[in-house]
Amino acid sequence: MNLWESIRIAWNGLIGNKIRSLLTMLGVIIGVAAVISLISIGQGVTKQVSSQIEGLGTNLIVITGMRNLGGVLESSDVELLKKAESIAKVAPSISQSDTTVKWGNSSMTANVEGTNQDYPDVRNFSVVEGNFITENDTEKRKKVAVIGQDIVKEFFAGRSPIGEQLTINGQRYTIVGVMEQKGEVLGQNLDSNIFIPISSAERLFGTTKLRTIYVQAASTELAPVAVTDITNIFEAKFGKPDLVRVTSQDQLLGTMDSLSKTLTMMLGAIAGISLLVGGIGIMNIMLVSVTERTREIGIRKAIGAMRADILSQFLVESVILSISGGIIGIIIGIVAAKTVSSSLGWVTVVSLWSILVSFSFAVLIGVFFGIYPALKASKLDPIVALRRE
Amino acid sequence: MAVGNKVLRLAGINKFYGMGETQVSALVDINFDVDKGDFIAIMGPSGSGKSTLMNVLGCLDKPTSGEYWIDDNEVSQLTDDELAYIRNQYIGFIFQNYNLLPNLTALENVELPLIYRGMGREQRKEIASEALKKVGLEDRMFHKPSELSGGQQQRVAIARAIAGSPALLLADEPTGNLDSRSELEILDIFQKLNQQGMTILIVTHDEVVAEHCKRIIRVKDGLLVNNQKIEIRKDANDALQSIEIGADVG
Repeated sequence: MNLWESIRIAWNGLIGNKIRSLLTMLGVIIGVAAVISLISIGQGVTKQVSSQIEGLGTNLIVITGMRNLGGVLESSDVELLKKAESIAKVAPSISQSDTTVKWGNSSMTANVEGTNQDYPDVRNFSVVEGNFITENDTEKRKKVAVIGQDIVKEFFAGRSPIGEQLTINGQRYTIVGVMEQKGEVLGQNLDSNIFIPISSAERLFGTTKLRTIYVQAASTELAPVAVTDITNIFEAKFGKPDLVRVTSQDQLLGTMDSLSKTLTMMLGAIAGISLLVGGIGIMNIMLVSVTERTREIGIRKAIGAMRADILSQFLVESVILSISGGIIGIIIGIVAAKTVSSSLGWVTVVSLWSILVSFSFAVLIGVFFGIYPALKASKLDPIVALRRE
Repeated sequence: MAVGNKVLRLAGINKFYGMGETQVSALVDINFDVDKGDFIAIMGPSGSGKSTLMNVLGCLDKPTSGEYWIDDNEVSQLTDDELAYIRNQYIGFIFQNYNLLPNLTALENVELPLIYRGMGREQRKEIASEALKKVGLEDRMFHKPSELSGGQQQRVAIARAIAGSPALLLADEPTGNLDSRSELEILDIFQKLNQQGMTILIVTHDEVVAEHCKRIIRVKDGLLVNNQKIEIRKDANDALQSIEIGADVG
């Protein structure tokens, strides 16, 4: 007997009990749909996090001083760092959040950050109107400011803020530029920033201690070299190691990547378990089906069906169940992923591998859980089977 | 063939059910041969073991001891799949309770043994509808068993058994549920098949049915008590024609 006959016989068997076949498939449908949609959410998170980290800057390295241990960063360190060949650009940062900013009669709180002309390149954050702080501004300690979109919205809705004067901590600053919309990057809202020259900020905040120095490595290949160079520079400066923390974008990406991969795998595993439960459902129903159809099996054997014929009939039944369940599950899984991204605004990535993996897993489950009932059916003694009512 | 032109040979066949004191002997030391082209009625009261004998003959049940030869094959030496092959190729079995698959049409039921022979769809359909025509059910081919009367279901079962032109036809009470006219029609079919060389064994408790056969084997309490040739054999075709003449006159 060829495969087509087996499929035809199995198909008729399934059609003969539509509701039961559908309910059996439901386990696989839910399993496959869950695998696809949950993995798509996990991968969406991965994608979003990586794009945020990449958005922080190109070949970015962040240096933070261990202040309480004596690891104090200063503006003079910038010139020191620029001497290293592995380093392209250096932007110091000194900042104060919740600073009161006034324009006319209105006021708001903003994050005021002092930096230099390299900041837009290092942080991958550019000006949309006017210009950023220049080298000249820093040298002359000019009172100029570049504002983020939140400040524009708050004070200058629909008007150009260039040339307007802001009062920061009682000092007047002239607006020379406006930053592009950046949104929240890793929990930090860059749109509520006001940038002023580093030299002005030192005076405004009354400190020369930098919070952070942002460094751009000369190239992606040189990023690890730059990290070593920076570590050496500060070790030489302080006379002992580990007083600054140097974090490269690669490290950050790597950490986040492994974190979100773990998340994806966990979601996939949970969904995989439901697929397994669906498989057990198939086995359960197939066993019931074999018991119920003992007489049919007896008749088929009595008129010449061999063991392989009966085996393939029942095995094909369970494989048809798992394949159709798998296909329906794929469709529902994709629709669910799209619905989640459109209704909740989450990024979801339906990947081909999750479809292939869950589908082949479903088929394997059909075969694996179908074998036992099918073997049981094929081993029935015809005369015993015929006597069964 | 093992012995001359014998199709079947039973030598010292025993069939016991259960063990020890509760052991029941269904068949005790059964010995007989069946020639090619024979037409045998197996008779006996209920519980005499005739159905068990039928199941053994049909390779559905294995004897506890003794030898059962089909051509050159000793059945107890065969594997399950070899038995399935013999059932499929050499034996047509008509069950007392029809044993049709309820969710298949009459035609599909008749096709079943041919499917397991690996026969193609077209040829299968042709042979199956031919067999249904032989039993007078050409207009019921696409009905399911539940839509057919008992007599019609029995005829579907007969069609299924003869569709594959088996060398051996085994029938367990094939006319038990039929009216006398249908009974004659079935017996007519059997006699024609027998004339064409098919070896037929039927279990019956009806002496009239038995008189259409060539030989009667009587079984009682699992023992073969009588094996006699029928001297004056009835012809179902003659009877059918006389009924028709009678119907015309009446």
